[in-house]
Amino acid sequence: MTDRPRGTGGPRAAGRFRQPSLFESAAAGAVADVFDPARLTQARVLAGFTKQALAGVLDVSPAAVGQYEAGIITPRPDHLETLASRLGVPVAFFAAGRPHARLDASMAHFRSLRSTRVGQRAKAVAFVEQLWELAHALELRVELPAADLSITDFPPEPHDRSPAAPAAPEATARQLRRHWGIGPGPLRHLVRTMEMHGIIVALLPFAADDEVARVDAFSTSRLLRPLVILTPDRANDVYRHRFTAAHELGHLLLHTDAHPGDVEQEREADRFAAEFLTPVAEIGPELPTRLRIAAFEPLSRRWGVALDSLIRRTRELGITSEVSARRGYQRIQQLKTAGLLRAEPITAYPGETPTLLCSAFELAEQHGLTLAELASELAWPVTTVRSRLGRIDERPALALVRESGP
Amino acid sequence: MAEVEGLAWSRQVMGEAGPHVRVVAPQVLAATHATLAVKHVELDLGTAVVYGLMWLAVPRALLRELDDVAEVRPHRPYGAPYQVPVINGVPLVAWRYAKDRATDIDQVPFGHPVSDTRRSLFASLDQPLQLDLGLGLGETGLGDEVIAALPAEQQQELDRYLGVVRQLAADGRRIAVLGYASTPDALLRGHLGYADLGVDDRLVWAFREELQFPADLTSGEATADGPALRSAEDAFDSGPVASPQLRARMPRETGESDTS
Repeated sequence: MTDRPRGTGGPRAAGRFRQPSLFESAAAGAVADVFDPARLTQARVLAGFTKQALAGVLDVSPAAVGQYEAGIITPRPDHLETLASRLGVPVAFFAAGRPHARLDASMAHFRSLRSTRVGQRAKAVAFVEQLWELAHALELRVELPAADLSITDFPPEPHDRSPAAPAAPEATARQLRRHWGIGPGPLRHLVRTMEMHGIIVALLPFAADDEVARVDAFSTSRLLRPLVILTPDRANDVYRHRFTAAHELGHLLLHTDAHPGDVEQEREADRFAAEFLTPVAEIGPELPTRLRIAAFEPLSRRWGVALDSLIRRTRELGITSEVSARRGYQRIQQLKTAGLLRAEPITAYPGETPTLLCSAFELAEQHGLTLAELASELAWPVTTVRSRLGRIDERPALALVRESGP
Repeated sequence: MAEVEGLAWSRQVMGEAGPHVRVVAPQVLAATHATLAVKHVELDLGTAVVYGLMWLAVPRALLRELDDVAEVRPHRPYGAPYQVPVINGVPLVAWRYAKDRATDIDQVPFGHPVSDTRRSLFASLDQPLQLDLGLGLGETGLGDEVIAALPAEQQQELDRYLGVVRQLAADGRRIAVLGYASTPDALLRGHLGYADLGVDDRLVWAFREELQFPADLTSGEATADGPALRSAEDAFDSGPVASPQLRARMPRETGESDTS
């Protein structure tokens, strides 16, 4: 039985504890002395292992793994080495003392809670924790834009001042547009705009066939800096990607207390996103009175929103009937099925691609920080750091070629 | 009464979508003219090569505009580098017949000589040029909406015209022709009608109506604000992409910094 000190999460804590470097080959015995059970949970979840599967790897009972993670017992040094090897982290990863933002799934807004399994959500949350750690490490070296979501001190428009209006998502969207100095017309480069106002935006780096990639976008304001995570499937369609980013922004502003999967909260975030991207006062006069896809396409391209979203707007504004709107959705679906309506990925839109953390690292790099040093400090493999920074490893994959005899 | 007559012919020859096509075609022609006229001025190449691409641009724009109409399908004429819309089995062909206002469209041959590509349009087009996937693609009722917007009196008159036109249009193999006279400076004249190819290579018109265009296009003052055109400068992806202002912390700040 052990009673180990746990990581406190403060930036000064990093200064008190000298993290074993990856390049010093931290001895498993030394790490066992400062074992942090939460790190084992984090690594296991990120690697997609169940406790039972991990127990099989170590040849211990699942209950033993549960006790490791509960901090009741500490794994033996040789088990730590096996764990590190199988979970894809250095042994030093399991040492306490590094800042660790604890988050659980109830603290994040998951857009489609019903379709995501507990394990998927846990993995997604562990990813957010890692992202926060990376941001924290970079913030020690680089000053990022201050998080700027405090619109309460920004006066609402006169017509938004009715007793019910201030809390309305639409009013909040209008307030934020004014607060961020967004002029009339389409909202340009949404993701970059969010980053300019201190919100960390990231794309979930897991492969499309990874189960967690199916987790819809999510966000949290429970850490010191708001984070929005967008998923690769949405990034394949720049319009959906923008709406999703705006939706999560709505959660950050409207719902301090997350009720993951709450239908009403999701609807409010949708209403916020619709008004934020296409304010009624501006889009209303431009919407065609007849639901012809050809007439909606130029609007879609200009405002950066999907055709479905515009049709929904016509319905909300009473321009069209429910039956016509439904017909419009069907028509869009038919065109998509027939391959006549193709989505555009965000790669062609630099303003919709997150870059804040990568830019911060590049600046820190100019002042002497290397990828290896950062990886060592975080106790992550270099590949993980590169992935969390959103950097694509363009180096060719090399393999040893065995020369055959003459 | 010309309005009702034009509607009746469009309805008879091009089917239910005809009245809609009759409305859209001049708009597309005007918008395409405006686009190319602006490009022509912008590039200032000293030749008419940019505006000369109208022969490619108009059919393409027509197809784009009509692609979601149920009775419209694309058809590539024999050997042509472009496609034309076929409405209810009738090809709609854009034809720049002159570069001045005075030329009489009746006196201009459809080609010098008429190419095999153009001749092929007068041959019967098999209906199922595209595989019917049974998706029920395309909007219906667009032409009926145009007719429904007419006053009751004109609707009755249209019914009478339709009876007559049905007999007149019964024989012959006609195509729909969007004829226009233009220069990079102005869209001078335009006609929409239904014609067969005569033995002298001139078109034999069963019916033709003159189109009306906005004054700024016909007077040679075409601008980028032409119909259906919108400046790309005001789009969600336009303008420079700003970068967040980041500042490296001095070493002494590091130990004192907070994470907010």
